[in-house]
Amino acid sequence: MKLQLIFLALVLISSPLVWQLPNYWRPKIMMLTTLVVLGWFAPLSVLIMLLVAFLQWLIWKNNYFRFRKLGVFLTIVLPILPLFVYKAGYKVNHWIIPLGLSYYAFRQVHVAFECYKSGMKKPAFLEYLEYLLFLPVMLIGPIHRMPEFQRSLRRYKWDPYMFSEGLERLLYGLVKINFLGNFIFAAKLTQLAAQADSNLLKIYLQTVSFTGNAYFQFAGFSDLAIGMGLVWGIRVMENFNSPFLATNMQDFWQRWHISLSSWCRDYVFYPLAALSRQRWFALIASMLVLALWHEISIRYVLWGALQALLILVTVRTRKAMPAFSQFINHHPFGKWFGRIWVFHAFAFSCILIGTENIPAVSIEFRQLFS
Amino acid sequence: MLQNLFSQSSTKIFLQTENKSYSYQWLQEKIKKISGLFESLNIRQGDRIMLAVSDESEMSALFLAALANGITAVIADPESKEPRAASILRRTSPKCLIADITALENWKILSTESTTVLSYRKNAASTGGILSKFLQKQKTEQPSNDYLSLLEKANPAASIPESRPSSVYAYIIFTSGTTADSKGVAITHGNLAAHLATLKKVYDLNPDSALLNQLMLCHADGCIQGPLLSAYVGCTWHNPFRFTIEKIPFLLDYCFANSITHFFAVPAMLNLFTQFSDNYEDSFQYPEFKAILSVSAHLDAPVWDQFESIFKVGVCNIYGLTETVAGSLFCGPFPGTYRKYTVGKPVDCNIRIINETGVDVGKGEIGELCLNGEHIMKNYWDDPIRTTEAINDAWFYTGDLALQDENGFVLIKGRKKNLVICGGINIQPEEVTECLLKHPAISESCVLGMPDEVFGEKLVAAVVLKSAHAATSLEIVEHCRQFLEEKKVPARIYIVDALPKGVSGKVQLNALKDQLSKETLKPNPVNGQLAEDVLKIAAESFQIPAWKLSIQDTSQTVGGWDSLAHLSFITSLEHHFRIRFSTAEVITMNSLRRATELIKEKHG
Repeated sequence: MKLQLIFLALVLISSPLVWQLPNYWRPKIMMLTTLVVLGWFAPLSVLIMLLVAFLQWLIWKNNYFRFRKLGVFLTIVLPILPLFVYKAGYKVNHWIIPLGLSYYAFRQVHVAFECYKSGMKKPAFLEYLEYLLFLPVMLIGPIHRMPEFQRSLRRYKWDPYMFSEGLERLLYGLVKINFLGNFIFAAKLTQLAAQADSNLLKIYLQTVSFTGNAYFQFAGFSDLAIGMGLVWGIRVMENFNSPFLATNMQDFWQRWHISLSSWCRDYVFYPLAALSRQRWFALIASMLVLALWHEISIRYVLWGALQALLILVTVRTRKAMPAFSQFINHHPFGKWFGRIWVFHAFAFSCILIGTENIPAVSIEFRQLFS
Repeated sequence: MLQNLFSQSSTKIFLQTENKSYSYQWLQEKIKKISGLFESLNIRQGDRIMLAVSDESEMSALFLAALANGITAVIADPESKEPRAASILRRTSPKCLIADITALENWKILSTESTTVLSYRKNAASTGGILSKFLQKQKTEQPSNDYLSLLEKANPAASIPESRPSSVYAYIIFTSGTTADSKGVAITHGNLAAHLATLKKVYDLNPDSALLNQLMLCHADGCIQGPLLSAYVGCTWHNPFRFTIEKIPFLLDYCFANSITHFFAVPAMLNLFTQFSDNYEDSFQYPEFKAILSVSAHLDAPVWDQFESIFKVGVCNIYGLTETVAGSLFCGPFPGTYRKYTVGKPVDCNIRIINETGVDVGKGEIGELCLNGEHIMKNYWDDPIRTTEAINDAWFYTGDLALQDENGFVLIKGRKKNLVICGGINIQPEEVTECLLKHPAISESCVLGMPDEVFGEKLVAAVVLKSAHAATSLEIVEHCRQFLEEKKVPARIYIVDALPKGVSGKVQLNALKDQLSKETLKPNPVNGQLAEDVLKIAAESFQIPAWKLSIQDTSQTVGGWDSLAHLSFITSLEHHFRIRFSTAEVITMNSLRRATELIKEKHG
């Protein structure tokens, strides 16, 4: 939070200058600011990012036809490699994961995929860095996309509504993190849970507290990132769209951590589905990648598999019981049943990741249902 | 006419390109310099100067400098082929010709006693980086006829005439036609001043306006409704880059970022916008925006509808000819003149619609459209016969067939004259026929326009080969390229056994069109039914009634198009059409149009 506040202060102070800059210089100054700040706080992270980006760019630049497939493979795997090494190292040796690595690695994979799909022209090194080194999203996402970022730069013009919307989002973010997350869900609800007589109620309140706090923290930080982007005049993709108003789990995953779930859809689900024509296999694989992005552990594998199962149940129910599905997704009362189901299904699935290890998970579930 | 140009503040932008701004101060100084150069070359009011420069900033400054000094600008296309350029030069006898160095090399034109030829070569130092500017010191000596070197040496003119006699010719633009019959439309300062005032009024222009016009400066809609209109009003002319299909998203973003108020486009451009508009629908949604102005060609109803429904802005349809400076009838932006699918009403001019005997037809009846107003050209240059044919008793006979409805709105119904308008470019078929007949293997040819979805009309040629001669359509196209600008080279050459003719021996165009359309239609198993089948499969896959879907729909606009349904859609398409999509195709297929295109590709 402290670092994010430093970033926030920097963005606010530099924003009048950024709006005034000529179009040519604006992305470069934003990039340099990010480079200096990130280099100051996390030089290793900057080094990894620059090295991977440089190698990718070299491959794009020297696109030898004979090695095209190898080139595509390398540009996709190169960013994943340090991410995998650090995530595994964190699990085994408690390594500290370089700042923002999880996010920029996925951004680098996104660009590599888009270049492969030919939907995007291979970027020049400088414009690639301008995209990667964008301060507002460095710490906690969203995993914004390069074409949208470049488009935002092309459409740049002074927009007082955008600026005030940015300030508004910053305010929402701070309220979500500090008041709703830290105070209500983390402090107050935990206190309430501690005072509960029944074990069931206690665990239930703890689960709600964990899920609610996780949502408001994450959505709050996303608001801060989006707000900072807007204050600098760049619109970054939304990361949450009222996920607990979803009426089924498939809908939920289109509203929760959108930048990651859409990344998994575009770069795991679609390629695997296209290759295998097996949508369930592709679904399970993409939910596993989504889970393992958080942490490489059995708990997250189980959590990812459970999410895939919940989506599968949703789709099967729609086919097997169309009237019921229609009621849950479209009827005013049905929708509320759906929402309650989604909240509880997700919250209880989070017991898997909210506890330290598998034995602790099993104790919690035993207490809950005994 | 150009008072606003010289009264603008030094910082006000005259021309904005993608990376460079040219201020009014730059323009004022440039015009004074060019005027000084004219003086040194002894070019005075009433003299003619031929201009064929492709650089927008330089060409616009030259054109405006010529106008400011009362010198008649003969505007030519730098891409013209040698016979056409030589013909224009011969017919107008300019005192000076300033043209791209590449054009001069192609035309093989050198200075003579009566005509000074200056070559324009883009200054390397102005485009390169620091290194090239440094290296510029070691540049080789410029040739003595280098326009920029002479301009650098010229002293700026002490003063620019405040006004010019209205009878003096402002410019001459040659229409398409054979070397013998292309017509030089001669517009006087009086015509120009009258029409600029009309355009300013109709478009509601003011110094804060931002006009985007990328049309070629060698055409009236480019040079008049771009640099001249902007300088007349004192506003900014935007010409960011050459228009290409790949640049459409950039162009739409440019409009948004620069708050373009008036966007000039030919219908073919509007049509292309509708096809590449996904996620760009809000490109004109900002408070400063005023109008999309469709010029140069007939705006088809489907393009009009589609553009308006996608971008949620009205399109104004402007009817005019080179002979009328730019416009005459305006459908919008004023509500009083706006009625969709028409060319609106005449502004600052009178119209008549007459039958073949010269008698006015009634409302709702088709006849030839005639115009009368101060903006109508004085004459065709050095061509009294054609002038008399076109202008009779102050009425200009447009050659277009029109009807007027009960409320006074005019609809264009066709053309009396033989002309193909392809993407806003007027092409006289005779010019192309003349070129085809130069080919040693061709005995007869007929050039005509066939309907085209994007360009309105497509130029095609039917040729009959001489006996014992052989030529492929590729060879014939190559032959055309030697004599014609690229835009006049037929899109397709049909080698036929004979041309359908009437009793008088004249080629029957309608019969030929039918014959050629039959040859164009190849049996295609997926045509016709394709879109319908794709919509049906999409409806089943996304669980949406088919009537709610259109081929314009994308994964963003269809509610049920999630990742699982996507794969079901793909597999259903593969099964139905017996094709297989590649991984990259599966990933990038995000619209029904894209799906349709891919299926078409796979079916050859």
